[in-house]
Amino acid sequence: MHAQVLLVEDNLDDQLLAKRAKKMHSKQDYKLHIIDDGAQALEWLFNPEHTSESLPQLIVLDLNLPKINGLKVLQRLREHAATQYIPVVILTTSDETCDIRDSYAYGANSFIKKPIDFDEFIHVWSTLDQYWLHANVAHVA
Amino acid sequence: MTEHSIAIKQAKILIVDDNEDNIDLAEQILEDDYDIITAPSGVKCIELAQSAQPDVILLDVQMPDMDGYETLAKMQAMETCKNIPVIFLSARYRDIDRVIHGLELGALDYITKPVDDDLLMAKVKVSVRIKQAEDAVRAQSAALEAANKEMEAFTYSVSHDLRAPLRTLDGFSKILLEDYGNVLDDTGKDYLQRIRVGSKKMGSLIDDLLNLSRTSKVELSCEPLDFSSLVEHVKDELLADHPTQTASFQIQSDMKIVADARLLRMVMMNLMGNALKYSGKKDAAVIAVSMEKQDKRTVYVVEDNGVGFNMKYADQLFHPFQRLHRTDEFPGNGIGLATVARIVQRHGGHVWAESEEGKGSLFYFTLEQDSERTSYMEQGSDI
Repeated sequence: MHAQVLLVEDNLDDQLLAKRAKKMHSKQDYKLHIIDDGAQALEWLFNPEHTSESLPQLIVLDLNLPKINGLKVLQRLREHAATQYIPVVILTTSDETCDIRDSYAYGANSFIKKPIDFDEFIHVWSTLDQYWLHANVAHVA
Repeated sequence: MTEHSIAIKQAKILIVDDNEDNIDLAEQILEDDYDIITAPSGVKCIELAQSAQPDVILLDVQMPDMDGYETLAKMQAMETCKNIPVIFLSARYRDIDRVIHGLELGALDYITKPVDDDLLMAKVKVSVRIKQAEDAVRAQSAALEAANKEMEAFTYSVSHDLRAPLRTLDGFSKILLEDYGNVLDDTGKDYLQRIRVGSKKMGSLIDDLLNLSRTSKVELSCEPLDFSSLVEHVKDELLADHPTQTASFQIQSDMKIVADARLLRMVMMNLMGNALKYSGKKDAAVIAVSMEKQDKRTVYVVEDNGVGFNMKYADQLFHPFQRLHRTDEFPGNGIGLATVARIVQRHGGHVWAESEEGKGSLFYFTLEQDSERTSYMEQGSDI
């Protein structure tokens, strides 16, 4: 069973770039599942048919999302027994202090400012992969 | 009639007294210059104060049911009435303790009767003027607060939204180069490379502008700092970012400073980064950071032996976007020194520069106030 990463991202360009970044760096073979907005993400994650295996091992979450914003999604995930321990990395264009502070306050495991430079963007994805799916795998399992 | 008297005429005075004769008396004195409304009791006074919003209330102290003191106390607790100035009028309560009590409750004045007509006129006029001035200040504060909120929303949206398209430009340019490099000739590849460089430049421009705007808003937390060691750290960081630079640094030891550490670091990153940039083409670049006393003030100096600049352009240095060199000679966006000036100003200090073309530059700053010195160089624009 492959590891699974959920990316919640509404920007279609960033979705494509994330897929590309995964393809370019990935040593770890994981499945990247992409959802466009906060409401759909919650609906998918809270689907009662999920088993602990079918839930993602890592959620990468944007903050500015249509319908339900990233912070709200995060808050709901942390309230729900099935999802409260899934690592959540906020990956967003903003680096405003209030966003960083609120993200951690709502239970984010990490906050990463989305770099403009695509080489750095690839690097971010490769680090996410290594840290959360490899180095940290014992805690997830 | 002058404009001023028109303004006064429009002011509205509420006269409150349980005795109708007293009301008539005051009304006769004031009715030529003001719109007069009247109330026979404290309860009615509060009602009218809310609905009619008078500019001044003349309030009798001794009234049945609710006296003047109680009426005032009630109005002070109400958002819609608390800014209306109240003048107490009393024939019976003339002793000083009563007067003081009335003023302490929040009345603007306390007049004992019998009252001279002209004195009453003059006091009402002053009260109206105070009310109008206070209204103007309140309106300005509200406008300022609204503008600040709008500015915050603007910078927030810049921070979020302006950067995203740049990632698209940079990312897909790189993907084009990788996937379709074989069908592009060197000129085509060069164009794509230029798109990437442009988008990254725009990205750092946005970051720097946001930093400049944040330096104005962030709260200062000043503490005594080991300035020499802060400078050493900045040096290490700059050299790590520019591994090909061979400049030597001379940093005075044991320098102390009281400042906001994070902001001061930004100042030194900019000043020392500039020194490195503009002396980098020299064979034996030397950058010195030191401290000296000038007119009893402690002045910190960053000196380099780089290309320098013509002093006739010195007044442009600290304005955002002003550059003295072409970007292909020395890269940069012209935000750095504006940020330095803003931070130094926030600390109550000054920054200035001296230079000679081809010989090098000296950048000075002090964080101490000196009212005698006003430097024309450091007036950054408002971003």
